[in-house]
Amino acid sequence: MKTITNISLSITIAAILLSGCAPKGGAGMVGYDSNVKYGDAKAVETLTADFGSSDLQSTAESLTQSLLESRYIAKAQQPPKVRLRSVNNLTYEHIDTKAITDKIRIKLLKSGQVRFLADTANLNQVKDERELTASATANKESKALTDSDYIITGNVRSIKKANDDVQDVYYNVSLELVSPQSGEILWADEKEIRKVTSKSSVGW
Amino acid sequence: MKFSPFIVTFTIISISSMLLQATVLDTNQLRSGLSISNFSTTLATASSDKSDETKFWYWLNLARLQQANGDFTSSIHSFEYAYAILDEYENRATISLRNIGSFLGSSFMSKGSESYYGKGYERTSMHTLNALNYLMLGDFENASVEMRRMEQRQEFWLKESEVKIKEAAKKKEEARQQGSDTSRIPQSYSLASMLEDDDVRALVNNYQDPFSYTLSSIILDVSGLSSASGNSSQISLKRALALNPDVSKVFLNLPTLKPKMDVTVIVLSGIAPAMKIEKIRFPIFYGANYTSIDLPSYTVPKNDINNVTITTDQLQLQPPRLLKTDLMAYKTLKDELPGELAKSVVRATTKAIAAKQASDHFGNLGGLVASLVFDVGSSYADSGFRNWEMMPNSGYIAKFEAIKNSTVTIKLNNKQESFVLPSDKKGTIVLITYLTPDNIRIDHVTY
Repeated sequence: MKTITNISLSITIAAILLSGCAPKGGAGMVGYDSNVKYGDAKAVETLTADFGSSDLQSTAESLTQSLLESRYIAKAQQPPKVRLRSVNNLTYEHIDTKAITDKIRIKLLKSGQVRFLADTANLNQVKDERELTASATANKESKALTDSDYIITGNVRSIKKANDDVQDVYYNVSLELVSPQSGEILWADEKEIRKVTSKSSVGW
Repeated sequence: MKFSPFIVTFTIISISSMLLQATVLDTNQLRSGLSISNFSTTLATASSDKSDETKFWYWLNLARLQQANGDFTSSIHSFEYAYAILDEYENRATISLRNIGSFLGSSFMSKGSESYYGKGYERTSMHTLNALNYLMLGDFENASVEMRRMEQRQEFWLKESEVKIKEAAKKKEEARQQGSDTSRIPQSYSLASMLEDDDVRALVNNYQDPFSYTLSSIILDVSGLSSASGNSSQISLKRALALNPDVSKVFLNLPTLKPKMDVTVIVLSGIAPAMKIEKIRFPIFYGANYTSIDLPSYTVPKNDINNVTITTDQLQLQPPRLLKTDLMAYKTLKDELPGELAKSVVRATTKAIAAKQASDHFGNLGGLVASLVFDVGSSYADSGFRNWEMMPNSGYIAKFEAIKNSTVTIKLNNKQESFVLPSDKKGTIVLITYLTPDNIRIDHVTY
């Protein structure tokens, strides 16, 4: 009996010692079974601490609402012409910031309180906008295309902190409404998100 | 018949280790298949051979081969696989059975039973090299993300190093109690003198390199994101200068030139030292007996150059070597060797005791068989112990101003390459990959 116990113990230890050969499917190489189902697109997603779909939705929702309530939009005589510039990614993740701006644009357009000019996604500074407007002044048709009342710009930032057991990620998404003529920031708001993940005490 | 748990365990591990070696391209085949005539075959073999797809080093090697082939998108994809493996390792449970297993394996069986998750300098450099992928695709914002990740990644390495220092102290005491002195590096160890080299001693630490920080400064500057992130370009530059004052020679402005543009030249050359396990004789039981211990060691770097010269009509400069992978590897080894030495002595002593048990139970033949099984098993496990063998050994950066539409000539040792600058751009970034004298690739992006 003792011999069998010894052998069993040895095999168990050996299995643990052979941990170098991690199982296929670990670390991002998971071979998913064909077990597809539809989920609620607006359900809260907490798979990882990375910037995810819930963060995208809540950010767009709260910042758009805040912008629409600002006096420059809410009390305008007629819907102002707005150009939505890029939101800079200053985080540790490859976030598709275009997804953020697209969502905000859709929400703003649906409100009917603003009009949008064609996207100039790669020009992200007020200076560029002013130069664009100035060069188009001579041409009335071009001027109509480029002369926005306001531009919207923004940044996504993150701060990561971790100790042995807990990882804390803080995201800050900020938007600004800027006058391209004066460079004045007329409105700004931010959305803060904090995500905490903790390691399990015991695991594979 | 009564079997010792020691013997059964080691036998199972040894046999299993033999079965696990299924790699198509071993270290030597990979590193000797880089000349222009063999490169496409080497890359195709590495891409199609998925037998090591759970290994960190496999994806790093593949990512580098793909980058050297100009396939930057595939290289990004491979780097992401490597990140996923490392992320999983860094986020394991506080008490992880795999970590315990790996620790026990390397403590009692062989250094090669450890899973390799890279050293600090490799974890830093993988982000730097991936930033170059994004850069060559013209995606400056995501290149900046990689440079921030490069810095973030260092945190876990520092924590891991602290744990290793504590483990080393324990093992040293354990070895002392078993009658072995592990306070000195054995003279027969091939890297004994290299670890004491002045250039190795001069490195500030084993995980931060001035190449990464200089590149970070340039990328943040070009991306236009520096001011939005607290003047991060200047912060990176200060860090680079603190690591190596020669960084000041990277930048050269020529105010009188017209019409001028910024030119950044990045040279990655050679391949880094490959890790191996070295067996040496070592006295145990207060010098009464000798045993064979296995220590981590490195082969020499390959195909590297020692001189880069850049020439335009207005200037000639020799950018400093900022990425010194071989020295970073030796510095890491120097820092970790006291722990590795104590561990390997304890390991060898444990094996000697197990062989003695086999001899007591089954006579001299049993002892001999047990010793052979241990040796063969650990040799096989050691042969599969690999690092990022395709990591560049050297990295050079120069950023200067030149007249638009003029010619820039770059000399890499005695090989010379030239290219003409564009006439309508603000700047260009040129990436030169030197794998062998006949396999040099030049890629560029403009902005």
